[in-house]
Amino acid sequence: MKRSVSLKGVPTREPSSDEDSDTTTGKKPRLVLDQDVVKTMDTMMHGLSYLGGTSIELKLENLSCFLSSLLESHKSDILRILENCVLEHPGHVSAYATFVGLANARNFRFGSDCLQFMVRKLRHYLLNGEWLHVRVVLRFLVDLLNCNVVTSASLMKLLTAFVAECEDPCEAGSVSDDQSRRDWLAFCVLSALPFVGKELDQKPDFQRLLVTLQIHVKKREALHVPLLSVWRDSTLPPLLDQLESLWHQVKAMEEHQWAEPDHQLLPRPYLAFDERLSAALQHSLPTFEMPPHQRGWSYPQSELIFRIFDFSITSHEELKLPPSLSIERYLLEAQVRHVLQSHHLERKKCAKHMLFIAASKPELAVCHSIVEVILGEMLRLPKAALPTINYGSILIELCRLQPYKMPPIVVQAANIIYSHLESMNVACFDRLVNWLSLHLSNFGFHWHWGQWAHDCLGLGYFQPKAIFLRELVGKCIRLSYYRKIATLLPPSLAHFLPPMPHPKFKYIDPLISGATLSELLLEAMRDKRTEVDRIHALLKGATTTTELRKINVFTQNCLHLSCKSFSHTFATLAKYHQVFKDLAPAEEEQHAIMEGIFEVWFNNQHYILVVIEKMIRMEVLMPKYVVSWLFGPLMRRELTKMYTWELLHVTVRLVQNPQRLGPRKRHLVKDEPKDSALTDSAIRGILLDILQRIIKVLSAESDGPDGSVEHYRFQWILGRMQETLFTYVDEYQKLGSKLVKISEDVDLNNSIAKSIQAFLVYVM
Amino acid sequence: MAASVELSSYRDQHFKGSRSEQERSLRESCTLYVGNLSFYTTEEQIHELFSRCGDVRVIVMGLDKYKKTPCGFCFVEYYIRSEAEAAMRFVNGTRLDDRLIRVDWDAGFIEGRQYGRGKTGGQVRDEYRTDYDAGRGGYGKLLSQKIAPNTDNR
Repeated sequence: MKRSVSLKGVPTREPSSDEDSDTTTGKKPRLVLDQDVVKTMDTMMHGLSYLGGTSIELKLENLSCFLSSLLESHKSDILRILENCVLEHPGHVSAYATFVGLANARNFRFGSDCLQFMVRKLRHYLLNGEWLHVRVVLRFLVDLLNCNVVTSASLMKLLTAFVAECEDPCEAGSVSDDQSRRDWLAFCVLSALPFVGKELDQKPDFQRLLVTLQIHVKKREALHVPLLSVWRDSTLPPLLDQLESLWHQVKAMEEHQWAEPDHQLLPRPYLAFDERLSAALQHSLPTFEMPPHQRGWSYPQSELIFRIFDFSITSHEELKLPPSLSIERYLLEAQVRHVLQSHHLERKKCAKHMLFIAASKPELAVCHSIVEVILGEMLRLPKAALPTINYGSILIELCRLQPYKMPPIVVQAANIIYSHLESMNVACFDRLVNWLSLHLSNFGFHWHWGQWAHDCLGLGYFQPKAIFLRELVGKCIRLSYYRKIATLLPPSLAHFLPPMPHPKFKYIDPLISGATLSELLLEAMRDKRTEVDRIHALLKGATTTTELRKINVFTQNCLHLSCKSFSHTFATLAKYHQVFKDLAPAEEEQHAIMEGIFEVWFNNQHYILVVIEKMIRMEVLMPKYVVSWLFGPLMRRELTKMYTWELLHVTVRLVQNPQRLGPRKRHLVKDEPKDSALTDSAIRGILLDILQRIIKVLSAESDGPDGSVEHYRFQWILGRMQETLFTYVDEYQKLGSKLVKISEDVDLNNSIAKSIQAFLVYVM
Repeated sequence: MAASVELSSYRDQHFKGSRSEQERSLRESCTLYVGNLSFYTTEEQIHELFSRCGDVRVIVMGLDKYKKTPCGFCFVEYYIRSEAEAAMRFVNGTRLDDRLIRVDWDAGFIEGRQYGRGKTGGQVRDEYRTDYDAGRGGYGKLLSQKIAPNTDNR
């Protein structure tokens, strides 16, 4: 390679045109120059993870040329940047390993120091419970075998140390009866094996390593699978547990003598440098002892693999996904997942990188895999790692970049999910509605509504598809406006349209009780000169009206007068803040306020949600009374609707963040809890209360035969209970002993008890 | 590619304080400016969209200085910076009411800023526009004054 082209095509963050003149004149102090060098190093090393531009081989060549004279002088900088790069770009560890291989070939000591450094880091992450980092660093060390930096014997020792506990959990001294630790360690090793299986196959102890893994996989119990399944239907392909699936995939590789996976799904950039790398000397990895389990550590659970395109493989499609159980499918998904992990915060970059993968594998249905992985992550149980809108924004970006390719795949995915809604876990439901409504909003709400309408002919009111369509239409209206959606929907879907979202003010009828007081108050409230004291006086003076009626009248008046927008309503509520506080000191009165809100905005769920939320913030309504109202007699029939659960979660959030309550203070930037112990006990209190109330509602319902209205209703609310447990999984875990007691109640309905017990098995 | 939470090149010329103070406020702010809205987009729609990134503390709709009707922008304030950052990342440049909306950092709402600063009461950009934008009152204000029929019958 000629030196003159060495820096071309390397993405640099800042033009370095004046750098040369600085070096020649030497006017800048050395420190500044050094900073420039480090900056360039950083840019070039991060550049290895950029899929576009020049080839990876050229980038590696450039980088190793650039660093050749700096390996000693800037060792600590290089190692620090290397660590960052490996952790930030887990999909590119092979490239970073190749870089270290080239550096080692040039400078043996650098190779040795790098190994010391990385093994020290591995230990550090193990001691600090940073399990995701552990896996990436192990993967990196494993690839160093391919780059001729480490000896196979010492690598075998390291891998063996990882699975020692799987061999004999009791003997290994780490008294963790926690299967999840062994699962994770096994997963770390298994996911690295495809890269080095061939190299290690004939080495002593390798067979033993495989047997250990096999025994572990066979012996372990994947109890979480039914609980965390997105689908409950036994006719669908069951969701696979990732560890188990990966075991079969790796085993199949072994049986085929570790033949290279198709489609070059294992990136091996080091092959291009074989000659140079094989001339280098290898190091033994420093001795490594696995830090034992410590109390309080929790490990990532083995995940379930979400697949939808396997449900219905259509033969006319040109591109295929690798078969579900092939190592190729795993490797493809791992690549997509790595991009998501590294770039999810920058949706444009993320979409671009995903499409780079698609472009590099034109013979595979990569775009299908991308959509499947993103939706799978979004619907993950017990909860997704990122907010729904994050996944949605990446899908929108993908559709924009590939307007002919991506949208049909998204449609296909949505269709498959829609057709299996009947068996979808209720805990994923809100995320699905929120995602699709926002997606549609970005594409003019154009959708094959007619086809979906055809699918849902004759559906019962509580059937999941019917609930889904109602909520989806409702959310589309919230993001747009009633008339727009009403004209878009085909007549066959008209019955899924909610009523016009107008307020209803009942005291317009002079004959109903309270109408006189209402009129008196309205007149006073309309007059801008009226003092708030006057309202107090009028309410006090109405001696013939009951207190609860007064509250209803006053609440309805406020909302009626300010129904123009949220801002109008908030301003009115703020104006009469003290009146509300005086009127409603306790549960019954606060319920009366909410009943008033409910009556006025019966046809507009968004207002009910937002107004009640506002009044919690104003400390007029107490969260615990909002909860008791939500599960009270009035709202019982509303519990199959999404907004009641949105309100429930908002309420819990406000208990979790008490600093968001109270009057608006400017310049409040820090969001630290006022008193965390107090907050914790408040959260536990409200969550326990919520669970008990859901159980009470469910116990009062009866689960009818399959297909009956009662059955659908019961199952839906039961699903919502599970959703609640999932949403606050950490908090409910702390309430474990209380949950055990609840689930052991002899009078408890069997389905409820089973559901809670399954959750307990998962968290305990 | 610049990170999507970086400050844009726009600086409010009416900011009271030095440029560096302004940039500091922008970097600490939980308030966003939202632009290129349709005049018909409601506060309720904005609330629905922006709530998906976090708890919205307050929305201030931008109004025509004289007519007191929406004029195509608003301020959205969150409780914490990270939720405002989420809106910068996931909402900026996406569609609301079929329009690509602009989301940018704002140093914080001050009374008076809810009004358009154009001569005719709306936003300045709607004075000089030469295109027809149905969501923002048709042609730009200056242009539509020129092409409007003469109703003066003296």
